[in-house]
Amino acid sequence: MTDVLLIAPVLLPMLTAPVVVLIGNARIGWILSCLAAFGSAACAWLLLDAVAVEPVHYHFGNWPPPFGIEYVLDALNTPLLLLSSMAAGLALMTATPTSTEENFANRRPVFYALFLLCLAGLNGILSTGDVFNVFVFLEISSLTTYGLVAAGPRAGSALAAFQYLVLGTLGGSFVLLGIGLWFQATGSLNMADTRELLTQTPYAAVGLAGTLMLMLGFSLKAASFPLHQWLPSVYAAAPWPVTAFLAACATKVAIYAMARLALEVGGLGIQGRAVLGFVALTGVLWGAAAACFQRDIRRMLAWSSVSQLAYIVFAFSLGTAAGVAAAMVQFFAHAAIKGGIFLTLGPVRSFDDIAGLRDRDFLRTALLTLLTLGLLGVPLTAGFAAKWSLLSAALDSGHYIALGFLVLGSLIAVVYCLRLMEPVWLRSAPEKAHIPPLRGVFLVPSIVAVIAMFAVGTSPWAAKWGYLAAATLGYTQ
Amino acid sequence: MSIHPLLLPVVVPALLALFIAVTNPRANLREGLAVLIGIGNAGLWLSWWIQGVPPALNLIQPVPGLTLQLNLEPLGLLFGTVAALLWPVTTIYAAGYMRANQEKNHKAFFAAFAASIAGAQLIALAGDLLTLFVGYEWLTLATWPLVTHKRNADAQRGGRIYLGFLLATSLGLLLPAIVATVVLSGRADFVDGGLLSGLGLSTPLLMGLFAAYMFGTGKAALMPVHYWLPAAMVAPTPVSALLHAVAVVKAGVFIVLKITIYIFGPDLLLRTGAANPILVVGAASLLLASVQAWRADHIKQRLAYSTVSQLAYVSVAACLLMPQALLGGAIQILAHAFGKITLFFCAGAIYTAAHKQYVSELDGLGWKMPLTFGAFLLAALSIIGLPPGAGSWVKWYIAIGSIESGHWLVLAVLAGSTMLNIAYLMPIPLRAFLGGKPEDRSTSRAEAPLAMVLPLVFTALLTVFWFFAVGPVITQLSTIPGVGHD
Repeated sequence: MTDVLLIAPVLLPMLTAPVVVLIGNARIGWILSCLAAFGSAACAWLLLDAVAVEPVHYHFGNWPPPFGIEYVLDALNTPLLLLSSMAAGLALMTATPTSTEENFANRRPVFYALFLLCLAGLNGILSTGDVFNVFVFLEISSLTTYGLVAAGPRAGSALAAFQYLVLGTLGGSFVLLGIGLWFQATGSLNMADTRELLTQTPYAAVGLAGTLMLMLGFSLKAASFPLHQWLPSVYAAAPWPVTAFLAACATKVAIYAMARLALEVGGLGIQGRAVLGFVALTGVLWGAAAACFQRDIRRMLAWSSVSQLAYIVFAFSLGTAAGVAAAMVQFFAHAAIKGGIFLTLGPVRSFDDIAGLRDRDFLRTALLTLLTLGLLGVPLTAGFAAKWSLLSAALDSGHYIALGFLVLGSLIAVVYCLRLMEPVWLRSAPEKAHIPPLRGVFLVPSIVAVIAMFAVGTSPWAAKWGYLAAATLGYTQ
Repeated sequence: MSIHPLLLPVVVPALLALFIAVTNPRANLREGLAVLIGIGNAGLWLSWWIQGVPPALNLIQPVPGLTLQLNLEPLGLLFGTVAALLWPVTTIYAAGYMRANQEKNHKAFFAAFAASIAGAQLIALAGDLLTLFVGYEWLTLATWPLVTHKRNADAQRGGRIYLGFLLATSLGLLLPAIVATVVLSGRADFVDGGLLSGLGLSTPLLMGLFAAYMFGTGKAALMPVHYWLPAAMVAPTPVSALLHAVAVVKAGVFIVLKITIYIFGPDLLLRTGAANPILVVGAASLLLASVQAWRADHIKQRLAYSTVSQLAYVSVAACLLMPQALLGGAIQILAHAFGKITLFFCAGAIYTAAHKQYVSELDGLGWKMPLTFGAFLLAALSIIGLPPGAGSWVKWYIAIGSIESGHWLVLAVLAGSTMLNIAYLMPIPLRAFLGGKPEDRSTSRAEAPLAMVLPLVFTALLTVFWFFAVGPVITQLSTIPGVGHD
């Protein structure tokens, strides 16, 4: 039974995708897609108990590692599988068969299929214990993402997708180069095996070069400062269910891959971590500051993501159990909050669209306000839990200067959160509002995001998984 | 199923806020309900003075190892009771004010008002630093819609300064200080004698941490983080009265006292001298704000700077660290609350009845509004520290504390500030009753509506009442180790 659960988060969306296209009915496709995504989430949920005890392995075709491909689910990637599948399911819910957000309305099943394949790719990166398999899934998720972004309603969507394609391919190439160099140094593609062999190989310099290549490649995919340039235009151009999905988990999966491969398998040393941490801290400030000057809401939120994602990278760079715990909390916090904000905003693009929202759409106002409070890091929300874990992890390992950066970043966040809230609460509504109120099926994902935000903020669940993950990575408290 | 009594003061106002926001009940039902709940809430707090406080309550565990808890101690009991007593009074006043001045959007106003009270009472009930911080941010955010109530450019600017200062100080200094405290001591609860006292921390670290707490509590309005307070005066007067003279700022100085007494401990600060830099800042703040108040012509601005100065009394008292000074600082929470809310009530009544906002316009107005200006006179006496005002006890105990600790300069500052208090408060009733030409004094009454005059007379009389009835408060506060007469 465990075996089925283990491969389902990858196979379920991957096999549902062609079925959706073959059936060719938008409504059935939509329902099937949602079911596949939530089914994956359910499988990940059912696995949690097992992986809390020890990592679970699956050998494809019964070929034992290091010769065959294996999937390894442990305390680090299983919660993230749950996260990505839930995010995909909720985002898909809002991509209704009648929505006008995508520009190829007549080929909507293809859109759902791309969405599912993207999810399968991300889940594959999370699940696999094989280095080359990571590359394969990375390409699946990237190629589908280009298609999803290009489906955006704007004329610029195709251009944004093309720019992303160029940079994404560059990132993918670095990943491939890194894997090649590792293979050169170790002769193995299995992660656990590679990790062992890298410590003993006579070609340590080749191994290190591979590690750095992988880090570079995944930094690009993760929109990690200073390789974040593609992110704002992609977020602005994509259909909003896609933006929400990308914001909630696509970049985070790349950060996971970076942490897993460069930090754990590659064993990046203390200097490397220090550089990574410093660059991330710069990104925290850069992203937050840039967010304050954007004229488009989505771009502002995208820059905020650059800053928020840098928090996760910094947390991993600490190399302590508390750091991994902080990263895990921020994974969930930012996914719920930023994904939730994009889903709640829906088709909103400019600040004028939300002017006087409190007078027109009270539910959307309330949900948006709560989520913005989370982004601000108000206590009891997940944003606060993440900030708290991060600050105490930094203080714990004596990074006082880092503390200053983190605090400054959260102060700048006040400015962009206020930029979001002022039109909603203080400006008066325009004569005719062309954004329909948030109702029906569109409400559900926002409400789930708010509940998730408070759940993570008021219970130590995410931090608990963070510490378990730290233990599987070999950090002690 | 029974609900823990300590939850009531937080949950009930919060539910009331939600009820008002969602169902939008008729005006009379809404305000009547708010007053009734407010009276019940005040009764609950008063019953705790007689029957003793309920046991502590553990809530949730948001981060591993840290439990949010509610735990009421004498200082919190005092602050919570003050906020609870003044809430229904202000609700009546606000109902009169909002209707008489044709303010818009009453629903949002009363909802945010109730939510703010819930936040303030959560601060009073907090049993650890994290819960305190939850209440602190809650109060900041719940009062933002009130500050920006008018929704015009001025309100927007005031709201930005308000949120900017309070969030920047709390996220930038208070939160890191709390995290540091938890990392250093491994816990976050309030301990008699001081959580940090037995850890052997170095003086510079203590000094930095204490400064981070004091400036981080922006609501205590220590200069230069006082700037938000005059800016928040764009709010309707009932908001200025209850929140920016009572709940919000008193939450600030309450936290100052609480941190001094329970996190650092007076002994530790006295031994290391870590509070001395803040003592200097507090004394300077006290004097400078008085000068600012004296120079302001706008009544609400004058009262706002007066508040900054009066809050600095508490910070100075906390930094003097003597038992009497801490007692005086704690009584200030009570005395200043009743005095200053009366003054703001009067300012709002003058604006409503006569549309006057400047001190220089008040000549001869006292004969038209004798009750308002009479109340103003009583409250002003209390703020200055003259009997029969409750404020006399504050000055008395802080003065004793400064003599005992040998800070003679502080005594001089207190004396100088008292002079300034007279100089900026007394002209208002004096001009009203004695200013202008006698023949212009119309004796025809033109008071504000009854719903506004009754509350201000009531609170003015209470400032006198507390002068005589301060005994139980002193008894209660003296149970805190390191606070009291001797």
